[in-house]
Amino acid sequence: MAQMHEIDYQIFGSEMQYVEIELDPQEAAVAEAGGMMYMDDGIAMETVFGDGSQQKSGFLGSLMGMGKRLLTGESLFMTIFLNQGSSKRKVAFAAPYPGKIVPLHLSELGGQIICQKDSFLCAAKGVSVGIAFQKKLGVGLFGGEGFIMQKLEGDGYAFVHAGGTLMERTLAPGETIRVDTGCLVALQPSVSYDIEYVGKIKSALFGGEGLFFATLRGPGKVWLQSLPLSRLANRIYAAMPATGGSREEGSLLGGLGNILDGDR
Amino acid sequence: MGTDDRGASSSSPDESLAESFTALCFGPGLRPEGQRIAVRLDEEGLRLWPAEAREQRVSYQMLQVSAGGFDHEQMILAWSLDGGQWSLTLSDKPAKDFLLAHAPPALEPQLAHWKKKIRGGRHRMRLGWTVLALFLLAPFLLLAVFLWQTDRIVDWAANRISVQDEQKLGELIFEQTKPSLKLITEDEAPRVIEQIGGKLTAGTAYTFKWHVADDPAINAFAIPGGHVVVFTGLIKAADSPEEIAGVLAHEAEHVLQRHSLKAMIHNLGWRAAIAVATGDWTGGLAGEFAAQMGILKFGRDKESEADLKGLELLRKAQIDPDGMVSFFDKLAKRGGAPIALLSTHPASADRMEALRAAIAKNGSWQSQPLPYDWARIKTTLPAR
Repeated sequence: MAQMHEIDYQIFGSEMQYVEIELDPQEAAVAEAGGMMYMDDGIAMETVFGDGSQQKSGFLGSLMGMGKRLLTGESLFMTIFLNQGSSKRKVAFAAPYPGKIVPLHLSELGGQIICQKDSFLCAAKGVSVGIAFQKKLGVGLFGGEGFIMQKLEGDGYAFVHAGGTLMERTLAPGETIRVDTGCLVALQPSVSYDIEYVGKIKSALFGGEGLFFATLRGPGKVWLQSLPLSRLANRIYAAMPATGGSREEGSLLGGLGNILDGDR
Repeated sequence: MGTDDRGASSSSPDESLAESFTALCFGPGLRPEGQRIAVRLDEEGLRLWPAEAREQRVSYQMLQVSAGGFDHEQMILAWSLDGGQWSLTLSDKPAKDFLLAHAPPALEPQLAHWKKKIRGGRHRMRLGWTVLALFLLAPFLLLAVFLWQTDRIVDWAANRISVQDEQKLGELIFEQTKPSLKLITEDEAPRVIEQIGGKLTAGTAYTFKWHVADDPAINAFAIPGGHVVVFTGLIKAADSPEEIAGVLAHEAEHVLQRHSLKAMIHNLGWRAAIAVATGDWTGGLAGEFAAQMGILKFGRDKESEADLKGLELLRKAQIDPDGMVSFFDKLAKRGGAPIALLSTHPASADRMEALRAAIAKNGSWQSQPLPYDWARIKTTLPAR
């Protein structure tokens, strides 16, 4: 654990959380650009290309890294927050939508975690944020969000964000659960990830579920989210006045109610 | 924690661990996220935590080897003990290689099967991705093939259209263009044009129909199937029936060589290929532009072909070829406003040169002057 920065953290809030990280002098954290909430005086912010885990990789290496980061839908740059002071300083990162922040201690989890793209929030400096492809073509074509995932490697803390309520589950060897592809947040690499065809067109059309489920087979830990951002976004989009949705909340007065409310 | 060392620890100074590797172990009583432990191979089975107080033995007979994990390439050794499920996950290459290299006889068939499965999976993956890539690149491949083999593809397609169908198509196009033309039907000029044309194209597969349109432009054009329209401007610009015959022979060859038909197929093909490649079926600006470029490129060599083949028609009809050469020459030398015939039939120096060379090579033939008083015919045309 020589090169990893061991950081102390505290998570605040219940549904819209933020994580406050305490940095010792010369300790640093990396975060997705744009995730910072506040920081103490004395913390220097530096934007780097990639995740700041590798020292030098040459031109081709950085080009590859760029392509990967574009694939996972991340910004090309990450921000490093380095405590340059002589005492402990704090920096906080906020979750971008309602949900829970999951602290993952990578060394306790075998050194590697696969997580849904876009769910990475921040980590101790030295954690590398890579890309994990699903090698099975079926998963690639029908796995929805599960095809290209992020790989967090290292042995310090990493924080990922889950939408809605978080469920952490440990799968015994051979134990299998089926999840909606969008609800998977993270999994240990020892967990097998497969796509299963539900095979019932009726349930696909009228049940509201997709035609395909993700099958997770143990051993290992998996983290599930109850509300993927895409689901929330769908509902919000459907309810937007601009797209013909209705704004009032089921009042019998309808449009009149809005006038009485003073909304208009 | 002591769990950081991964893979085969064959370099370990500890003699008792010389034949051991580390793997992630899952089971009752262990940490749920798995515990990295040392494993030693023995005669009858695995020894977990070798040389420790909690050492545990697992017989090879109990083990089941399977492939799994996120990348489907990890080696999973599973067994059940007292109703609990246990498993060892080998994810790193050194550990897997170690087990394969030191495979105990009891495990060999299962390990071979694992190896086969991994290899099969990789093959399938490669195949799948190749098919997918080809599928995604197919429109561009199509476009490339079309670019590269345009003439052949167009010829192939044109050969599949019968003369009857071509004539039906030509009829359709002619009916559509007719309203914009002021056709002259009742005079001497149309009759003379028809006679010269008929003489030129006697014995060909097409039934030609010759028309004269009242238009000052010096131009003539052919429609697939055999409709040839000559503008009065062209008739007025000509000084002899032989000069007109040259133009008619040229236009007739456009029909006989199916140039207009091929140009249409070419245009349609381009549009289709570009639409497939760009996914833009509305015919965007790019498609329009590319289609136009395609037609221009089509033009030049076809014109020369029509010239040379037209010369043959003149020979068969025993008409003096000098009229053809001199007429294009004359038009090219004429200054002033651009001449329509030349803009669609560019009279480049090369073309004239080729025409003269062909005449010189084949020798001139016995020709009979066409029996028409051209100056008088010109007076019968509507005055401008």
